Amino acid sequence: MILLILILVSVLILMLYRLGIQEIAQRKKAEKELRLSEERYRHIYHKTPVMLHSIDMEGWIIRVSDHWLDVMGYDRDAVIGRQLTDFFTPESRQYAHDVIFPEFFKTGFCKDIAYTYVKRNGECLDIMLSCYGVRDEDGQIIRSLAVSVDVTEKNRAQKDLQIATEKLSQYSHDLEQQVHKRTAQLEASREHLKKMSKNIIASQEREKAQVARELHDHLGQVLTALRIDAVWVEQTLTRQDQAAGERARKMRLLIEDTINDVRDMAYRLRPRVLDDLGLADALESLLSDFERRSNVSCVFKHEPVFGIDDTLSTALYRIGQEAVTNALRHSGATSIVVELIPDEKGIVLTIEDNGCGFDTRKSETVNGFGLEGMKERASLVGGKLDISSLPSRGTRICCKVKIKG
Amino acid sequence: MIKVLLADDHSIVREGLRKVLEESREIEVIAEAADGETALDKAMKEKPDVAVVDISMPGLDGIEVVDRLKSYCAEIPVLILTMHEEEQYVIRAIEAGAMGYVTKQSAPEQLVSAVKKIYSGGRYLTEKASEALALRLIRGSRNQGGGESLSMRELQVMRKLALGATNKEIAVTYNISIKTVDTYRSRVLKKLGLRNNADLSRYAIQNKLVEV
Repeated sequence: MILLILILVSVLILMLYRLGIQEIAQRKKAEKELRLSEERYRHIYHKTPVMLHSIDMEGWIIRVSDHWLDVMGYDRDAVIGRQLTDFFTPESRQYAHDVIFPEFFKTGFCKDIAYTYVKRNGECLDIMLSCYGVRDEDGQIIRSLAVSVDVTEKNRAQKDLQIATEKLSQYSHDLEQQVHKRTAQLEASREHLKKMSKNIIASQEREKAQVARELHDHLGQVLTALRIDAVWVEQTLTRQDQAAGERARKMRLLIEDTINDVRDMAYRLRPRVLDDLGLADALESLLSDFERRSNVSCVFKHEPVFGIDDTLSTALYRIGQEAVTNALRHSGATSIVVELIPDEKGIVLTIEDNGCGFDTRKSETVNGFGLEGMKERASLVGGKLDISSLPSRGTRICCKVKIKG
Repeated sequence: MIKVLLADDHSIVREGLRKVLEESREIEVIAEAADGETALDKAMKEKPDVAVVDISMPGLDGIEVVDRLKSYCAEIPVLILTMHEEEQYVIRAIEAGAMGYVTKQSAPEQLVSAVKKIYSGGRYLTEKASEALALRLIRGSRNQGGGESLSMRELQVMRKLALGATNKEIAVTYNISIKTVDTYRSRVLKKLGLRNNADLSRYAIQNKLVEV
């Protein structure tokens, strides 16, 4: 019986022992697994190539990643157990204590906080920090897990960009100012050029008039006096000596030709009638002259216009002359009508032909016919010149000038 | 003897003209002037039968002299002398009251007869001058009527036709072809709304475009 009891007890002990052994083995295994998992976690924490750190509720650093240490230039021993904010600039430290920490420990979360860290070598590092709070079974925050992203380069780039943008806007402002200035200068020099053109044209006309006057008054008069004598000589000689009379006749004819040449020259330079009798008479005379030479019907119509000064009458005369010359030369017209009439603002000169016309868009014809020159003359006296022409539909040139007063 | 005042600012021309006038033995130059003021003074003092006055002189020009003489000594007829061939001067001179017009170029041939003509109370106008005056006249009347204007050449052809010239004669006169003359003729008829040469003659005479 006792033996039986003994056997039973020993079996029980053996069983308990085995259970015990089993239990120990299991616990060891669990411990080992826990340790392994802990090590894996630490490994991942340390080796992940981002800046990770954790602090406890008092702000002491309890863990940092290798990358954190690399970037900051510290050994782990010099960091663990230090206040996180020891690695901050004073401004960031202030900001963390005053704003971020209270907020974080309340909510357990924060995102994109801008801090500046100070590296071991004294360099500053702009950081964008996000973290969450790790809680215990009771839901109390016990530590943080934070990720810091180095945004120094990004910030610098942004700052550079901003500076560049500001510079660019300054440049563009300067440029605009320069453009304004240059435009004003150009405008001034255009005005100057216009004035110069005006002066050149005026002095050209003055010179032409002077030469014409000289030809007409001096040479012309002398030739006229010569002709009077030549006629007398011819008449006298013819009565006495036929041959001598013939020589005298030739002399007279030569003088007549020269008188005509001189008159034509003077007329072409500047017709005296323009200065003596005015624009209307000058245009009328011009047209009858053209008609005599061309057999094209040239009609001049006009109504009295007042207040035309010398410059204006010269400009309009030259425009008329050019337009009629063009019509005769190029258009094959059989009729040209020139009209000089007043309108409510000033004066209108119109030259119209029934010739072949031309394409006003073709610049070579426009330049070839001196139309640009006519336009310039018109604009120099404050007028406007319109040309309307179509192939085979004739040409109409109309110049309107305002008269002041 | 016809007593003449001769006004021209060019002394060599004046001298030549004086010779031309005096050679005729019917005309005597009783006074000379080199500008308009003097011409006016001498005309009033010397009372010539005819004043021969250059149209362009310094100071008072010929047209002003004509104008003044008209009011001070209307009885002295004025013959205008000019270097200018343009008819526009003739018109101005005639409008101002001159009785005749001679270019210096044609003075040796025309001056004496011109002086004699206006001395006897007539007018002395060259063909060209008459045409220019006629053109002014017809344009003036047609401007008021709003009709189409004639060109100088059209008027010339019209005057010749009105006086009974043939197309051929006209062609020779103006050195143009007979066909061109006919073109001008039909343009004139069209512009004036006339049917034939008889209409044309009547129109020209009625409007004093020709002197019959």
